[in-house]
Amino acid sequence: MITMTHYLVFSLLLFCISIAGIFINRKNILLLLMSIELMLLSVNTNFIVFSHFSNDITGQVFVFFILAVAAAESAIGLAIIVALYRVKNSIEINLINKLKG
Amino acid sequence: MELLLLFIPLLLLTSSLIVGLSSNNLGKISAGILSSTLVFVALIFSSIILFNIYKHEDQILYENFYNWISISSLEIGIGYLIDKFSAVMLFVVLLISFVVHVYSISYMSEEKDFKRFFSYIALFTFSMILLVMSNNLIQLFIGWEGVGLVSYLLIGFFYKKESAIKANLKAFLINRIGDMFFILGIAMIYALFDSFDYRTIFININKVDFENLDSYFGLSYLDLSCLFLFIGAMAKSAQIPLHVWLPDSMEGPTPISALIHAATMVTAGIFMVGRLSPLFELTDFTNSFILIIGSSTALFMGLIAIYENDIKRVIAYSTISQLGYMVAALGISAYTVSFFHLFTHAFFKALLFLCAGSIIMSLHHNQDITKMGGLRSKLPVTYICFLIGTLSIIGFPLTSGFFSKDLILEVMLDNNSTISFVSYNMLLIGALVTVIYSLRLLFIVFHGDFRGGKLSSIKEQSMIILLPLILLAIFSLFSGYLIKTFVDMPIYFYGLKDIHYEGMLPFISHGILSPASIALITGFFAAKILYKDERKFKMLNSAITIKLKSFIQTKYKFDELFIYSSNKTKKISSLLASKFDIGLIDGFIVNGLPKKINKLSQILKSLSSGYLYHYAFLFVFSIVVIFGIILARIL
Amino acid sequence: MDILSILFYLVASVIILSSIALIVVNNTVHAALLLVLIFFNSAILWLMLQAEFLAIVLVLVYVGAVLVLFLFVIMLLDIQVKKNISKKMYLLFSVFISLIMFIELYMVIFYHDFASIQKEITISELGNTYDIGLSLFTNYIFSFEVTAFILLVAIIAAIAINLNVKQRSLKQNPGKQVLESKESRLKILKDEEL
Repeated sequence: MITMTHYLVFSLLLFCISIAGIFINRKNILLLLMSIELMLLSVNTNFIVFSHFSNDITGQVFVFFILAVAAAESAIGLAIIVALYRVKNSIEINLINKLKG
Repeated sequence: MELLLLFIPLLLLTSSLIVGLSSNNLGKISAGILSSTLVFVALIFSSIILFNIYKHEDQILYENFYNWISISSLEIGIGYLIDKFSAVMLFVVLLISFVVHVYSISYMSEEKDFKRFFSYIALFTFSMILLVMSNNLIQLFIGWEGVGLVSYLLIGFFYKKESAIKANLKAFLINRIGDMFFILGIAMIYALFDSFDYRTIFININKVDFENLDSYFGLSYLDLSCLFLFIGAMAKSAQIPLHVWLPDSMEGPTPISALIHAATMVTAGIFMVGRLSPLFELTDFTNSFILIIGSSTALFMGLIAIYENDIKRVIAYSTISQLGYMVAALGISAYTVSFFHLFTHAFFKALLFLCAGSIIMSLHHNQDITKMGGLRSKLPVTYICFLIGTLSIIGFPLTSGFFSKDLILEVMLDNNSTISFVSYNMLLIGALVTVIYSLRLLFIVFHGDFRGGKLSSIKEQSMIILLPLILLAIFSLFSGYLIKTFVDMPIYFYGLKDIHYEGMLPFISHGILSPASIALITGFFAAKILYKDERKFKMLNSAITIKLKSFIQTKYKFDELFIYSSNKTKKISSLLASKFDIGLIDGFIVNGLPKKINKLSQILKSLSSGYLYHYAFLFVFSIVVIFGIILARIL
Repeated sequence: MDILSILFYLVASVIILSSIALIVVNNTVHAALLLVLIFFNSAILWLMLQAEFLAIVLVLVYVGAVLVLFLFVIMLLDIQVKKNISKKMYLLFSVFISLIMFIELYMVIFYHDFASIQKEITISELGNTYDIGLSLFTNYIFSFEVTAFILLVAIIAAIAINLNVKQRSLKQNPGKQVLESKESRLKILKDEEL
């Protein structure tokens, strides 16, 4: 029998992997975005798990919102990447370090 | 009459402004005449007021006609308080000022800055009148400071002369010391009575519970505040040890010396103490202090005068000495007696100064008495006037000085206490010293042989110079006969303790028979033997007298004391400046903190590398840490 | 072990493995395809949790739109895939951090008693989609409108960022003028260079 804890540990695992993904990645900004998508996915899964086991539809409504926002976020992120590529002719993260003290 | 009163300061201010700011169209002579006329009108006004005050017994003119500053309970007004005391003072100030104005027309005629001079002396008189007329402490202080400021300008009138600049700076700085204490005293009085107004202060004086006030350094509150006020007066009235500015201030033009040192500035301190006599009357320690300061000033400053060779400085030291008499009289609560001496002294001291000015002019600005002598035949009018002045100052019977000085000595003797007896003896010796130095000056300058080259070229000055001398000589001779007025004069709101005055003739006979006459005669012979004849000069060269002479000529090292203490202060302040100001404030706080912050921010700057993954790492790391802390507290 | 458990373990292991592969892979296209796989499997997981509507949305919207967008961008930019020069220290750091995070959060899950919030699971008569719709258009209508607005903003922003206005008029561009330097406009040549 799959309990709530199984699902939660799974989504936690997914979340930690995607965090590691953000740090490991030093070149490709697209992979960074993908890691973020992965993170959001684990959070969404969490929402649905709680919604399912507490028999409350609100969690699923929030997943709906998160999906919408995540879509908007990745759209803008990709637009920025395109604009960045036009300026720098590269999307390497370690070349983007102009904003510093 | 109130209107006349208001016109007096305004006339002088107008005179100062017109003469000072006018273009070249206003010539020297016309400027002088205009200025003198305005002062003369003011003098007439003040005579009318004086006359009226005396006609209506005990009339006091009081008005606060303008509220200058008003902050909740703090009220500073501009007004006047005229009683017999200030009316007489007003008259004296204006009379001396008028005489000096007239005298200066001739004396200063060759100066380029003639009009500036007249502007200054008018402003000076204005400040003094403001001080005298004032009905509150703040207005008094304004006049006080005005007098100090203009004295600075006047002493440094010859601003191209280095010694003059140093002298005026010295006068100003010494007066600052006094003024600091003075303003402290005013503040303490205000804290006690919650008012600056004389009338309010004097009315409330009985309501204050002096017993329960705080005391500081073993002095009661009132003692301390009056002591501070008196230290202010010490600087203005040139008492030991704040007298050092006065001899140096002889760098100014001679008429100035007459104006400042005879009637106005130096008497401001005496006037102030007299004005606040109800307060001083309640003090114990301060009165003794005043007495000691006054009598020692009278004696020791007189001694210096014996060995001075500059004609003006001799008179300057005699001024300090005579001020010592006045202060000593204040110390035994004989305010009117002190004021009487102030009154007579104003005339004969102005006379002496102006005579000295006349001599200096005739000798082409030579002030060294060793280069003078035998001027009696060449300058007969000046000689007679100088003689009258000298007789007055030494208290020759029936001259004005006789009355006032004898009165001081008498009341001093009447006051039954050890300290006043000591003071009496000091003043008596001081009287002897006065005789010696005054007659020495007279003999050296006017008798014997001329030591400065050819005598023939010297001639008497014009009438503009001589008329003021004659006027002052008349006052010097006869002003003493007003003794009854002064003895009876009540100082505002305060009834003086009785002085046993039994009329003119008993007083004169008593005075002639007093020890002062012995001092007079002894001094006369001493001076005659020592100075009348040049050959006798050798007598002064014995070992003891030379030692005494060299000791006195150090002027008791007061200048050195000031220099020493200021050097010490300078060292301390330079130490403070280097350690505290530069080291702590500049080094650590002002520059140090930014440097430290800069270093810290350099370290913090490296955290903000601009790399995305560094930021993300920091972000996640802090979340982990915070979450760990929360978890540790929950579990 | 029932069939659902087997399915869960299968799907979950596929997701975990492919996400590990995703973060270490160098090729962006491969990464995107791995993401597609992850999303599909997630949709299966969500279906198991009776979230049919969201599972379908995930596949249709996410895989169909967003990931295709990713692929478009990858193609568009023609990225030279360089070897990820991740140092060992960085790898260690990231594993360390995520491990700590995992432990912390696992402690929360382990120590927390979820029984209190669990209820008896009932299956909606009208279906999951109906329930979400009902909640969206009643309780969360304002949030729903805001979401619509956010999407609008995203559209406009994406266009605005990449809009390349060609200069047709002779109007001055102060920003450009300020950035001009002397060297870019004027070159001083010596005689022999002429």
